[in-house]
Amino acid sequence: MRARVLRAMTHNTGVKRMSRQRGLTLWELIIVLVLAGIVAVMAAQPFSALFNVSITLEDELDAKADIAYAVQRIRQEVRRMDGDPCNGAINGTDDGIELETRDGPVFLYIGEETKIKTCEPRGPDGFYEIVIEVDGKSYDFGVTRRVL
Amino acid sequence: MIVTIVVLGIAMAALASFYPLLAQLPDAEKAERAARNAESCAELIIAASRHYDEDEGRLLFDPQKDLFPMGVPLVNPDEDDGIYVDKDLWGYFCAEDGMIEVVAMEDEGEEKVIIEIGYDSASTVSGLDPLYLGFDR
Repeated sequence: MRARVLRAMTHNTGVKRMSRQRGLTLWELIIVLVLAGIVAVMAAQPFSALFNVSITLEDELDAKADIAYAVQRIRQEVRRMDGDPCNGAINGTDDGIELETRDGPVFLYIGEETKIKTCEPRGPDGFYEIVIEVDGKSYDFGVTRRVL
Repeated sequence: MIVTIVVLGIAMAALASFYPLLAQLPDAEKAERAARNAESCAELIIAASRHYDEDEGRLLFDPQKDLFPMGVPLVNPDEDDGIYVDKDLWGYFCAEDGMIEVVAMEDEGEEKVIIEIGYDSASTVSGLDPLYLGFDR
């Protein structure tokens, strides 16, 4: 008799527990997500500063701007060069590019080891394809020598 | 519940803080490469528009050279007229490979050919402003 009562009590308790283990309602889920979103917005700025994301982005864009400037300057000088630009007039160095211009040597600072991977005439007369390699990445461009 | 909100919030913040880096850098790289290609393409067209003048002893701009018959660049090296560029070089700097689209137009007086070097409309760099080259006819 006692054992039967105990079994019944255990069984009843189990039933009660089962009915309490329900999932989240849609409203509860929405409230959690909205509150989590608010926490995320408040925490995003400190996180960004913690991981230096904006600084990394700025550094990358600065490096790109330096390379873009170097490419423009090389183009500008090659356009008005008297001789073959691929004959030692453009040289990579430990931290940039050395250019032999009409007005004398010019150094373009990039801040990374720079190599002139390719410099060769291609296609129509006076057109040169130049590939510079900065920090393992290649940047290729074409330029036409105007003075021939 | 509170722990869930805080953990979710911090996880979302961490993801959000890396988003600019992940989203902007590849686009910036593509835009930089496309702009470099557009200028290289302009240089290539300038080089192809010249001919060797024996009297002057140097290459000069040739107004008779029809670079874009029917508005389409001619890249076949076997043709007498048109752009003397092999297809690989043209494709690399001036076509889809380089995210570039080139269109030639004639002005109203038909004395000038205007070449628009735009960006591939299907790529993420389609919003960049095109380059224009003008040639006398």
